[in-house]
Amino acid sequence: MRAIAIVLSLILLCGCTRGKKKAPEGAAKTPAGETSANEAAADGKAKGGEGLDPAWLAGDLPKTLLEGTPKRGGEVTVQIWSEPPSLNSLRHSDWIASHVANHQIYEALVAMDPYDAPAHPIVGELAERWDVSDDKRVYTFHLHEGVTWHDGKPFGSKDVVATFDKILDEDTLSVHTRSYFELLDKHEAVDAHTVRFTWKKPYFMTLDAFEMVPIMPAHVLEKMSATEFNEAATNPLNRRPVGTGPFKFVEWEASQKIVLARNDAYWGKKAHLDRVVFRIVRDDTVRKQMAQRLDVDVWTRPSDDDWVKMKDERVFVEKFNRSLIYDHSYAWIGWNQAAKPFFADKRVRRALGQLVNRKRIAETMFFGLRKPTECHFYWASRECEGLEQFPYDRKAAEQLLTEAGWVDSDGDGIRDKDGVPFRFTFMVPASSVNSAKMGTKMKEDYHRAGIEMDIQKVEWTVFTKRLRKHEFDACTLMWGSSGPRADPVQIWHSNALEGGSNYISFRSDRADQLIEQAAVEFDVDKRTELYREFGRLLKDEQPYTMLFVSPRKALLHKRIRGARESLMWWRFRDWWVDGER
Amino acid sequence: MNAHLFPQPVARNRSESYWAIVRRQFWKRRLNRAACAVIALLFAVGLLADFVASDLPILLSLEGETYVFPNLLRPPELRRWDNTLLLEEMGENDWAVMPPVPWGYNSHDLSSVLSPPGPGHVLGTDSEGRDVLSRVVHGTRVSLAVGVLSVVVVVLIGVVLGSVAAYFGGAFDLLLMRLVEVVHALPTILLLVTILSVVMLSGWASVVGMMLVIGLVGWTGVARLTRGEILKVKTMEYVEAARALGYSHLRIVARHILPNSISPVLVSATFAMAAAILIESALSFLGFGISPDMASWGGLLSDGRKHADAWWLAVFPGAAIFVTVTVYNMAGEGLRDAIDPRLKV
Repeated sequence: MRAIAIVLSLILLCGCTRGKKKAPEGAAKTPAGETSANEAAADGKAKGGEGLDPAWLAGDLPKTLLEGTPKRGGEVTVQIWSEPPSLNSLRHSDWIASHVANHQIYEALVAMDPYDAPAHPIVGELAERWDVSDDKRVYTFHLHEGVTWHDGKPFGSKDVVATFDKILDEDTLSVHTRSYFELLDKHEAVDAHTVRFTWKKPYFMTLDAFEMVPIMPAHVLEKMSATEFNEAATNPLNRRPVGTGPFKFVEWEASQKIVLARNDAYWGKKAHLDRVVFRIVRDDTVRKQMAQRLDVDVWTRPSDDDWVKMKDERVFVEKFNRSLIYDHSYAWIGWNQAAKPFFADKRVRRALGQLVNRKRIAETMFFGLRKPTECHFYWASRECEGLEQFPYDRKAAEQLLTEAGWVDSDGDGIRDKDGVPFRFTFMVPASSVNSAKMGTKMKEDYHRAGIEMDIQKVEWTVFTKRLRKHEFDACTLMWGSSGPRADPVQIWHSNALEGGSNYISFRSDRADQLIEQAAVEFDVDKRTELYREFGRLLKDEQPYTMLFVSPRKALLHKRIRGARESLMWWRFRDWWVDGER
Repeated sequence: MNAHLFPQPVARNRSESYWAIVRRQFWKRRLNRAACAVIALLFAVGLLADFVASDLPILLSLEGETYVFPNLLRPPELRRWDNTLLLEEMGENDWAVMPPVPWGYNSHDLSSVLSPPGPGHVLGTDSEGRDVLSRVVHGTRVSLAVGVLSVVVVVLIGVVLGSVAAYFGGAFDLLLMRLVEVVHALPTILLLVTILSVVMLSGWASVVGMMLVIGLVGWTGVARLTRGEILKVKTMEYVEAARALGYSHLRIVARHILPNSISPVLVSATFAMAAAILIESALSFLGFGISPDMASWGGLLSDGRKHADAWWLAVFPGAAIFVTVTVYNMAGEGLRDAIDPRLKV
C-alpha cells in the first residue's frame, strides 16, 4: 500500500520539478520538441506497413480473384454482426434481413446491377423486360418463364400480385415498404407471365421501389391473414423463406447461424458454392478471434482499431484479402434553425463548420478511415462531382461570425448579439462513441472562438423523439439510403418539417423546386444537373455541417474467388472456393 | 463527549476523552497513517488539479500584460489561447510558467492520438489525443467530488430518517423501514442507468447529478445503522433524564442521542465513499452519467476497452481507482477498529 502511495507521489514530484525547471527558461522549448517527437512516432506507425501489398493496405480486393475457372462445390462461412428479426424484409426493415435474403433467396422484379458502379442501374431479375408508357405511369413487366419456387411450385404473375396485395393491405406491418407505393393506383395480372402497375403520378424512383420488394409465393401468402403475416409464429416466410433465388434456405439456428444452400433448379446462372453459412457474432472481439483461428471465411466489420493494427498479425496478412468501400451513408451535424436564432444565419453555420478541422479529425481521431464529404448524395455519384467541404480556416470563420454581428460585447469571452450569448447544446445519441468524440473536439474549438457548447448524451428513443419535435439546438446523426439513388424530399423539402426528416427546419423555395422537378425528371443527365444545383445550394446554405462517409470493411479468406466489392454487399452466387481454409 | 457508553479502555491518561482515544488508536497503526496520507494527497491533487495539469500557464506575460493563475481564473481575453498556441506565437518579451502537465483535460493533441507514454505525454494519450495524465488528475477531482458529496447526501438522508424511525418508533418506524426495504430492493446500477438516461445533463451538472443520484439510492444502509444504534441508546438513563428535563425531541436527538451513536455511521460513510467512486467509474465505463468532455476515470477505462493495445488507458485510471478505493476502505477499517472497544487490545 505504502509502495503505491510512494509511486504516486513520485510521479507528481517529477511533474513538479519539470515544471519548475521550465519556468525560468520561459518554457519555450520542451513542449514544442515534444510535439515533433510525437509526430515522428506517428510517422513511424504509418510506416509499419512497409513491404505489404498496397492493395491489401488500401482494402482493395485483388482483381485476380476473378480469374480462373469457377469450381463447383464447397462452403463458405460469413459473419453477420447481429441476428435479423426475420428474413422477411417486407415485414421488418433490417439491413441484414434484406441483404441476406433479398436477391439471394428471394428475388424481386428488378435488381440493381451490383458491379456497374457508381450508378448501379436497374436490370431485370424476375422480370425479363418491361415497358413503360409514355406518360411514365404504366409499367408492364414481362416475367421469366419456367421459374419455380424452392418448393417446386411454378412461379407466375399471381405471385407478384399476391405480394403487392399483402404490402398494400393496411393491416400488414410493412409501412416501410408500403410508403414507396403510396402513389400506386393499381396492380394487376395481364396474363400468367405479365403484370401491370399503374401509378397516379410519374416518379423517377419507381423502378428502384420495385427493387426493394422480394416477391413471395402466392400459395403461402394466400393462406395467411394480415395478422398471421405480422406474427413471427404464424408466418413461415419470416424464418423459413421460400423464394426463387439462386440459394435455398436450409436452417436457422437462433443466435448461432443461418444456412443457405445452392438452388440446383435455379432458372438463371446457378451458384458455384454448395452452401453459405452466416454465423451470427455480435461481439467485435469474438469476430476477430474467429478470424484469427480461421473459423470463418469472412471477417465482417472489423473495428477501426483492428483494421489499422492487423498488418502486424501474420495470419491476417497471409490468409486474408481486405476489402474496404465507402458506401452511400454520411454523418452530419445539424443546426436547428427553429431553436436558436444564431443558426438562422448561413454565415454562422458556415463558420461553425470551418472552425473544426474535419479533414484532420478524419485522419487522426478516426485513423484515416472516414471520407470527408460535402454531398447529400452517394459520394461517388455524378451528383457529388466538384463538391468539396469548406476548408478548416479559423480566421475566416471568426471573420464570418464578426460580420454576422456575433462579437464579444460584454467582455466575458463569449460572443453575443442583441444580448443573446452564443451558447448552445449539442445533442448526441448516448450509444454513439464517435459522436461524443466529435463533440469534445468541437467543444474545444468553439470555446476558443468564443462559443460555448455543451454536450448532452441522449438516450436513443428520446433522441429520435426530440428530433421529430425539433426540440434540440444542434445534433449529429448519420443518414443512409437504400441505394445509390435517393430522393432528398424526405430530408430537405419544407413539407418534411412535420412528419418527414427535416429536423433542422431547413426552408428554401429553390430547394423545394429543385426537389420537385427532379422527382419527375426521367432524363438522367437533366436530373443530375438539377441535383448538382441542389448540392451547390446546400453547400452555400450549410444547413448541415457535413462530416464523413464511413467505410464498410471486411476480410475475405484468400481461398475465396469471384468476389467483387459492391455497394449491394456480396453477391454469393458469383463466389467459388479454391482450396481449404 | 460521553465516554461512559463503553467499557473503560486501558488508557494511560484517565481523563482522556473518547475521541482522543479513538484518534490515538487510529494513528497507532502505520497502515492507517499511510491511508490518510494518500487520501490527503488525493485531495491535494483534486483541489490543485488546475495547477498540475492545465491548458493555460500558471503565470503568463503576454503582450505586456501579466496574468496570475490564468489556469485557474481563465480570463476571457485568453480564451483563444492554449499552451501549444502560446508556445508557437509568443513573442520575444513574453514568458510563461507552465504547469507540469501542459495539457488540459479536454485539449486535443491531434498529432498524437493513442500514443503510448513518452516525453510529450507522460502517461500517453487517449483515442482523441487527450493527455491521459491530465485526465487522470482532473478525474481525481470528479471522483472525490462524487465520493464526498454523494456520501453527504447519503448521511443526511440516512441519519435523519434513521433517527426519526428509531426515536419515535411505532408507525414512523414501520413505514420508514418499509421504505428502506423498498429502496434497498431496487438494483442500484440498473436504477442509476435508468435515472441517468432520463435526466440528461452536461458538464459539471452531470457530476452533481451523478452525486445526487448515487446519494438518493444509497442511503438505506446508513438509515438502518442509525436506527439500530439509536434503539440501543434510546433507553439509557441520560436520555430519560433529558426527557424528564423537558427538552425538545430535536434537542434530545441532536445533542444527546446522536453524538453517542454516530461513530459507526462515520465508518460506514467511508466505505460508502469508496463504493460511490466505484459506482461513478462503473457508470462512466458503461457510457452513462458524466459527459464526455469531463474527465472521469471510468470514462478513460471505457476508451481503453475499445483500444485493447493501448494498455495505458486501462492501467493508469485503473490504478487510480484501485488506490482511491483501497485507501478509503483502509481508513474506514482503521476507524472501525479504533472505535470498537471489543477489538481493542
